[in-house]
Order: sequence, then structure tokens, then C-alpha cells
Amino acid sequence: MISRLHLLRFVDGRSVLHRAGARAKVLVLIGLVFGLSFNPSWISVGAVWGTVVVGIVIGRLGAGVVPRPPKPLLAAIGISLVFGLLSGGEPFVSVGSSDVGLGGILLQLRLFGVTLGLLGLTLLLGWTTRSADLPPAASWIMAPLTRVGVPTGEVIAALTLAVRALPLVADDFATVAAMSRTEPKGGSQIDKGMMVLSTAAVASVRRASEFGQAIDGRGMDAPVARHPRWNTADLIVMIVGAMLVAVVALAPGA
Amino acid sequence: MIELQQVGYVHDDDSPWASRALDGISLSIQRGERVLVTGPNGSGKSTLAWVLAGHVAPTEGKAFIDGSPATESVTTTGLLLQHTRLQILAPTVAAEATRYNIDADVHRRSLHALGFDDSILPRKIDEMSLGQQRRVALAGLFARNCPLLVLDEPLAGLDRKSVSQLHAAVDGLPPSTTVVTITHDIEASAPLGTRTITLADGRLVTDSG
Repeated sequence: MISRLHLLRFVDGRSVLHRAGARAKVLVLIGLVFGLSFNPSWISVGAVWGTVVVGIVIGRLGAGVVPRPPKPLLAAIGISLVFGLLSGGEPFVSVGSSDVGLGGILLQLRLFGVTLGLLGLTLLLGWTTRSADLPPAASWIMAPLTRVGVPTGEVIAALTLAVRALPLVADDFATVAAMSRTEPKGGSQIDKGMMVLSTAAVASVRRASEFGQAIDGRGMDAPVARHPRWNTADLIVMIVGAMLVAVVALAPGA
Repeated sequence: MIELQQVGYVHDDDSPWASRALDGISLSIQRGERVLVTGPNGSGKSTLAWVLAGHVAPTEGKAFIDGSPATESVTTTGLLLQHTRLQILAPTVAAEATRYNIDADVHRRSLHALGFDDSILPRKIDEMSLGQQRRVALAGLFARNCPLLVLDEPLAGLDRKSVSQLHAAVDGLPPSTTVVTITHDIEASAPLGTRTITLADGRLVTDSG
């Protein structure tokens, strides 16, 4: 109820990103993820962030889609940046009579840039793709793996259920956190935190159990919906995506 | 005691997924009143429960409890969730009482009123049925002596005997305790309230008070 998490939530629209099929977008996403993971240069990070921002504009998604990070997370990031600054390293800048090493904090900022960039790409996929279209796309992409004995049916079934479970589990976590605030003040915060986490874990396990029963009921190899034909929007996304992947993978300065 | 002034609530406000749950609700509930809130699915009943219990602030209008914003009363207002398992954070029944510093004898009496005996105290919450979990949660809420109780679908999952026990337990609460019961089963819940508020599409459509 009070969750502000918008993972894999579709925003209705008619943009080229919406009209492109899930297969094309997932392929580009995979390319960008691999490119950025193996070449996390500042240019690559900038290209991925730019892709997300341009995607939001082209998709006419509006700034409201961007999640608002919880304050404790922002505080934790702030503290970690202070430690990054204290760790020093090249390059150095002169502040008054002393030299300050920026190597640690720059490395950390790049790590955040990579992490948030990958998260942003995933969110962009979710905002412009109906979650029901993802399992058929994954099925098509993973088809070659079935020839080498990979149990793709199980993987797709698990993916389908995980996508459906995500909002439920997020809602459960938010509810448990809200309930923890009803306790009287005082007592060990660590104990309270552990109690919240254990209850959230129990709730998640129960959800998983329900989904396990669903798998038992319908079987692992339930038919996955057929994917639509390739269209012009797919072509545009694939061409632009290939260029972006090239930039990200080959950009200098890693 | 409770005062709602033009309360509205929009889930995921300022996002593409914004959806209105409450719209222009104004009402006042006096101390000790027993109120039923009913309406069809999606009419905003549970959101109203969360607003009354202070777990969310209205996105429009104001909600007060005893003159202060309802969100300031979140630790003294009791809320029974539909998904009861999520509100019992402790592993056993006895440990749940400890969480809220409830006197052991008061907790035991409350459990007895809802049909349990002392053998329930060491039981693990996860080994109980949904109906038992709901009664344990209710017993904990009643034992906390909250001035305001908001019960969201308290009869769900209860057998007839448990429903009767719940009616009697609510009757046994101090007269100053305000009880707001969210229900879609107005007939079975009738003994829990003397005033009925009906919601539809997030708006207050009838108020017998």
C-alpha cells in the first residue's frame, strides 16, 4: 500500500519504445549490461545514463517514474562517500596547505554510476514493456540454450512467477516496515530490525510456496505466449541499440 | 476525537501510476463510538483504515486524532491488517506481547476472551491457521488498551464460534475505546457497530450517524 517501488511497472504509451517488442529491447539491454560491466569507463557510464534520460523523454514517461530513494539509503550512500574520500589515492588536489586524494571517491562514484545506470536501463525496460511480454522474449532469446541441455522451461516459469511476485513482495515488505513503527519506543533497534527482516523473510517464503504450488498445478512446461512479428520499431531500437552498445563497449578511459 | 476534513488519498501521487483511493471525506467520530465502514471492493475502505490509524498521511485534506495529526498517534492506535501475518512480527504468541510491553495477565485474559487457553502462549505464529493468527493479533490489540482500534476485515477467516467470541470481546472493551471496523459483510459485523458509513469510489455516500 505505501510502497514507492515501481519495479517493472508499465506506463502506457505509443512511443517507439512502447511499440518495439520485448525481444529487441531485452537484446539491447543485455548488450549494454555486458558492455558496461566489461568497460565501466566514465564515457560508458555517461552513455548509459544518457540512454535512460533520452528513453524517458522519447517514451514520454515523465519525471514521476523515477523512484524516490528512501532517506536511510541516501544517508548510507553519503556516509560511504565520506569513507571513499578518506581513502585518498590519485589524483590529488590542493586544498589550502594539504593535498587531498580523490582516487577513492572517484572510484566509488563510478561504481554508483554503473549500478544506477544498470538499474535505470532495467527500469526503462519495465516502463515501456508489459511484464507479460518478458517471458516470451526470454524464451526466444534462450531458445538456443535448450539445445545444450539448459532447462529453459524451468527458468522461464521461475521468471514469469518472479515478475508477478515482485509487486506483492515489495508491498509485503512495506507493510511489515509500517507495522514495526507501531511498537513503543525504546528497546534494541537491532532486535527490532531483525524481527522485521525475519517476518519479511517468512512472508516471502510463503509467497514462494504459493508460487511453487502454482508451478505444480500448471506444470513447468506451460505454453508461453507467442511473440509478435518483428516491426519497424524493433528495427529502430536494434540499430540505435547496437550503436550504443558499441560506444559503451569500446569507449576509452576504463 | 477523530476529525477528517476533506481527506483525499492518491496512491503513487505524482507518478504515471497515480490512482485515487479517497476523495473529499469529511467526518467526525466521537470517543467510544463503534463505527462500521462498508462499501464494495476498491471503494477505499482499507486506505481509510490506514489514514485513521496514522500509517499514511492524507495526500489532500487533514486527519486529526484528539486535535493532532493522525500520524502522530501511530504507536497508540491499534490497526488490524487484512494480511494478519505481516503484523505479528514476533515468532511466538507470548513474544508478541513482549514486543508491546503488554502485561502477561492482561494478554492472557485477552487471549481467553477470544477462545484460546494458555497452551497457545508458546505456539509459533507460523504453525497457526489464518483464523488463529487473526485472533492472536486481535487479542494483542485488545490487550494494548489502545484508545482507537481500526479493524480491517476482522471476521475474515473466522468460524462462527470465533465471530461470536470477537463480538463479545469488543463488547467487553472499555466504553471509551473507539472501534472502527472495516467490513464488506455488514450483516455479520452488525454487532460491532452502532453507526454505519458507506464508501463508494473513494467517496462517503451514506453515514447513519
